Amino acid sequence: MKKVFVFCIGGTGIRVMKSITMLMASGMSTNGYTVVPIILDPHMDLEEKKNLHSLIDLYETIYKKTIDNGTSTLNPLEGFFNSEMQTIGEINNQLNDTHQAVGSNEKFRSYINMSNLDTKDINNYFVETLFSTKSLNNPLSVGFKGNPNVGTVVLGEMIEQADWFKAFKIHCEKDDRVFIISSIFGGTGASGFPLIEKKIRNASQQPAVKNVIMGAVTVLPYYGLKDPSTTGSDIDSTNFYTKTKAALAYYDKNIKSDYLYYIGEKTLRQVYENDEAKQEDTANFIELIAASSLFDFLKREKPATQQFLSRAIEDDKESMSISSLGSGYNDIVKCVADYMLLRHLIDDVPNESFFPLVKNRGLNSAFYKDQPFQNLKKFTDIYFKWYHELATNKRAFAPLHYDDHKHMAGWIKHMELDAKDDSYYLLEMIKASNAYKDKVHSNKFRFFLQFAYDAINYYTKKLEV
Amino acid sequence: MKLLKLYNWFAGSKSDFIESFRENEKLYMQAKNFWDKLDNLSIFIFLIFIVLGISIAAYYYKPYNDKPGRHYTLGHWVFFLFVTLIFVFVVTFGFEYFAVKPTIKGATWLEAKIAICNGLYAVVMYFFTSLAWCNSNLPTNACRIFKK
Repeated sequence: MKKVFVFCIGGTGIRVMKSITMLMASGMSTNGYTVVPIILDPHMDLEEKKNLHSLIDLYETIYKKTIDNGTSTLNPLEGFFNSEMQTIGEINNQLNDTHQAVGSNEKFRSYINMSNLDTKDINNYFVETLFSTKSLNNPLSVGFKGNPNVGTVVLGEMIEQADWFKAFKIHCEKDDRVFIISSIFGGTGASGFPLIEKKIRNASQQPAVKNVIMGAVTVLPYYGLKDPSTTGSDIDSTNFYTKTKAALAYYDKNIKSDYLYYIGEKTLRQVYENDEAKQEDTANFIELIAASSLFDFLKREKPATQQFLSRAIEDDKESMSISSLGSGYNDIVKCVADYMLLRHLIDDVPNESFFPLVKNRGLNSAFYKDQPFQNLKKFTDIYFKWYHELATNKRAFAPLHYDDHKHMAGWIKHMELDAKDDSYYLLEMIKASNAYKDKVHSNKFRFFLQFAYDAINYYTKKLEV
Repeated sequence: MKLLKLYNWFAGSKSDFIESFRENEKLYMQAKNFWDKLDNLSIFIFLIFIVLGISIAAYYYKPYNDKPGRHYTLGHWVFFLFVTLIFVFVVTFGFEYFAVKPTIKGATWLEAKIAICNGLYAVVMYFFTSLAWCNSNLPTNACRIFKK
């Protein structure tokens, strides 16, 4: 199986990977590639990072269940959870989490052995010119606090020594790909992206790594942070554009990715709490669009020359729907609409005691109480929260009317679906089950997802046209 | 084929019916005549419950459940059971009424009782058709409630 190693650098990398996971769950295809996420963030206790690890684990568990046929495996499903995801640890047959090696509690001052320098040493003055006292005293476990100059020094060595990078170099084979996600206006992402890319292109001992088809998405400033003078934070979002310009000037000459996607906003529409330690930022439209670039990249062949890509929207609106997004976004809207409909069925079907699939496919109360379905429910709860955040953020991604279950024809705004209420989907699920005569497996969980997708797709496929 | 005997348990026998006119020879003959005419048509009455019992069940399991609206629930199946009872009663009674006009006293009530009985037989037919449908490979989007 061909793989795409997805390096998710910094907070933005983590949030974009979350969107990638959600889109994969919704049925977005990776074109046969197994996604191998590698999360690179020195924050050791970042809740968002832990949550992403849990989400990926949950996705994998669900995916594995869909292809489980006892002693053998089935082909991936069409629709929901159709693509495989594996951690680098699993590929390397390691049970421990190889991502943990990225962070360290050491202070930056100690990391660069500054104590070895005499206070009157000219090198000492040079270091103090390049790095602020705050930066020098920061422990590396809390990230680089928007300082790419610190990140550049630390990450290079961290990457080279990390188990996951060694594992990546061993397991990256011909036909595999690399995709790097980072922001350009922070510390970790801005410094990590060129470093990783350089490490890969310089891997002359491993030709498959050196020549790998590489794509990257660089997220331009898309949110602001509250005034640091009131919060005591070290990060000032008024510097974001200056940092971006500086980084872009560097990228212009030094970035060698085959495809480079630039995603950003024209203005900083949302202002978050300025808390580097927590980074409890809600899901953002820009992260979703950045996530879509991975799927675009996986459809493309190796280009003759380096390609720079971006995405535009039809109408500059506060809340985006299919009409303001433009038809180019129909695949994303369809995926999200499909999964939100699946959520509805997940809530609905267990209460249908006379639903024919209870008898025909064994989808009884024991099935709904069983772990696989409970995992799906758990994933779906996270999905709903994610969509709700997207739909209420600035700018909002809110193409759905998902709260009126009696009038579901308007499920997708500015569009009329033929399904007037949920019974239309339930009926199509029954029809899909009746039409499916294959006796290859008796995987009930797969049946549920397969028939639910067939039912939903029957009504939403008009979005593909 | 004379099949009115099948309804005797509910509608009463021929002798029960004509005996009440024993006092009046003319009415007695009319009653006997009425019963015989009805009995001669009993095959059609019999066919009404069979055909409609099966047809309504078939309609429930196929076209009705091909439409959305959670038609697979027990409530819808029971609703169709009552539809069978009432519809077969109306059709049977209508058929009897126009085929053999009830001109003597008690004849209308006799026809009504036969129609009620026919409705009940149709319900049984509806049930057995459902039982067979649920346990066969016949296609349906309904719940196979009686599947063993």
